[in-house]
Amino acid sequence: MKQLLYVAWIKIRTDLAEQTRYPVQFVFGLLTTGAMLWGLGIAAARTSGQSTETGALATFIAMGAVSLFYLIPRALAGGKDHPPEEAMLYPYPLSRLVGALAAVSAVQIGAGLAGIYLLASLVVTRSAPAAGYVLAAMALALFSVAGAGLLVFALKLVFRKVDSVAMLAQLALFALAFAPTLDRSWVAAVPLAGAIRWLRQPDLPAWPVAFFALLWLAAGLWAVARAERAVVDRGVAAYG
Amino acid sequence: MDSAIEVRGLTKRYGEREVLKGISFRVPKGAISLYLGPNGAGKTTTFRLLAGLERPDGGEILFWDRPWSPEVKQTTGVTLEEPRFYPWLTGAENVEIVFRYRNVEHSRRHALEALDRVGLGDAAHHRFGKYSLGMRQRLYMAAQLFPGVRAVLLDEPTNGLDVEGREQVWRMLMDLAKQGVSLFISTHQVLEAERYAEYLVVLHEGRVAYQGRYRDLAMRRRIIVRATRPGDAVAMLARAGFRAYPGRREEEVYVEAPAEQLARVLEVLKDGGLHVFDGRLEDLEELYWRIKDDVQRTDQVEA
Repeated sequence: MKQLLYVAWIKIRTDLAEQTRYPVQFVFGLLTTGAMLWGLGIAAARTSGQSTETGALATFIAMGAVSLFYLIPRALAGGKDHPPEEAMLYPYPLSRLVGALAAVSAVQIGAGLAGIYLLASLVVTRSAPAAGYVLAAMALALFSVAGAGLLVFALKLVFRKVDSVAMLAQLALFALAFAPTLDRSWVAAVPLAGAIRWLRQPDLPAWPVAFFALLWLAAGLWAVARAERAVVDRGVAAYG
Repeated sequence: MDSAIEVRGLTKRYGEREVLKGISFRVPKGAISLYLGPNGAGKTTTFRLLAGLERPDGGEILFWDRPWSPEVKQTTGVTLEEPRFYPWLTGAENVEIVFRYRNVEHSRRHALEALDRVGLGDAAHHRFGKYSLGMRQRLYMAAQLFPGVRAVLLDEPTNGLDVEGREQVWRMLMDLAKQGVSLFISTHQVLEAERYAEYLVVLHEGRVAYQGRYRDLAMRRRIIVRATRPGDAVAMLARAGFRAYPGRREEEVYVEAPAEQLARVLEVLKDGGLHVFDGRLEDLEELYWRIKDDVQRTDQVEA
């Protein structure tokens, strides 16, 4: 597992290095994303002490979770540099490698957002209101969305042209996170929406959300392993 | 013969089409073995089965008497059809990443050594995007030369290369074999098999048409002469104790005799007053077509 996490770290670092090939876009992207996240972080910090006004905080968390959902299906570089078939030649199962890539991405995104949130809280309120509660919601959101991302990766491995479906799912995730159906009990099972619902209603018990987050993760890992078997049986990875 | 790879009764079917029809062969240790066959014969399918990218419908594949497993992957390099690396990274950085993926310690040093082995030492710090096709192929091979590698499977490594590029690749492969690495290389170019194969597996329409040492196959080559009055040539050679018969082309005569008899055959025809304007050994391509015809005839008889 340590080796896989190391491989995932190298992979993500190398992919990030690609961005520096286009310095203008890279700096522009950093500035705009940074400004947006910082603005959201400030808003999140201002409102997170008030349970009725968690819209900004929920958006902040959704931003990170949906980014992770976007990243995982593209974890193997869109089939160009290290496509799944090349990765399948390495001495470990593809599902574990993609799982490690998802875990490292989740930790990076989670750490980045948590850092921004805590910093913004310190700047705005000189304290970190309900930090533990907010960070738990963030972790739950990332867990469940990582599972959904792995499911999409599995679909991409077996079927071509899943990208548009993934894009729609990404929008749906965002929409669901703020949908009026948040009061329905089944929302706890929807990735991201459950975590945000829990965040906005502090009296809800955490365990159903945590249970469904783990369920999504397990389903995602199972789906990737199953997709790898299907690809080997069928003979062609549809990726890329 | 000690085998690096052993394939027994391998079958693969895509829908109605049976691509591999129960093939069996062995790849000896520390030698250059070529897998020869025309496009569509099933070479790439065999490679994908060997590399574990597809599951066979039947049969068995063993590497050093063991099935394909993470342990076998740890000692076996595989190149697929096309080299894929990060274009903005240097050759050394790309190979270093692959070695890190394979948990190689001191991956940077080993990457530079591997680049030296394939003759890319001088270009180690150039970006992959700037590499020529030949350099890309050699870099792909360098990425398989991780410490502990025992066998490398190469799927048509000289595809698309010019004469010089092919020569560089083959020289490097011969060096590797001398270092004890078992090489199993697919090609559809008969000339490559003729020049470089120590061991040969010939695939035709999903069946193994020949497997064995190249030397043994070369011994089966006929003598081909082209002379005026081929009918008389056949009779003269028969009188001299040779098994001769008319060839496919006009003025062509085939003689079932080993290479060292070529001078004697020419002498018989010259003494008989015939004008001989070509006398040579059958080349591997002609032999290949003959083997293919034999396989087809066997198939028809079986049918």
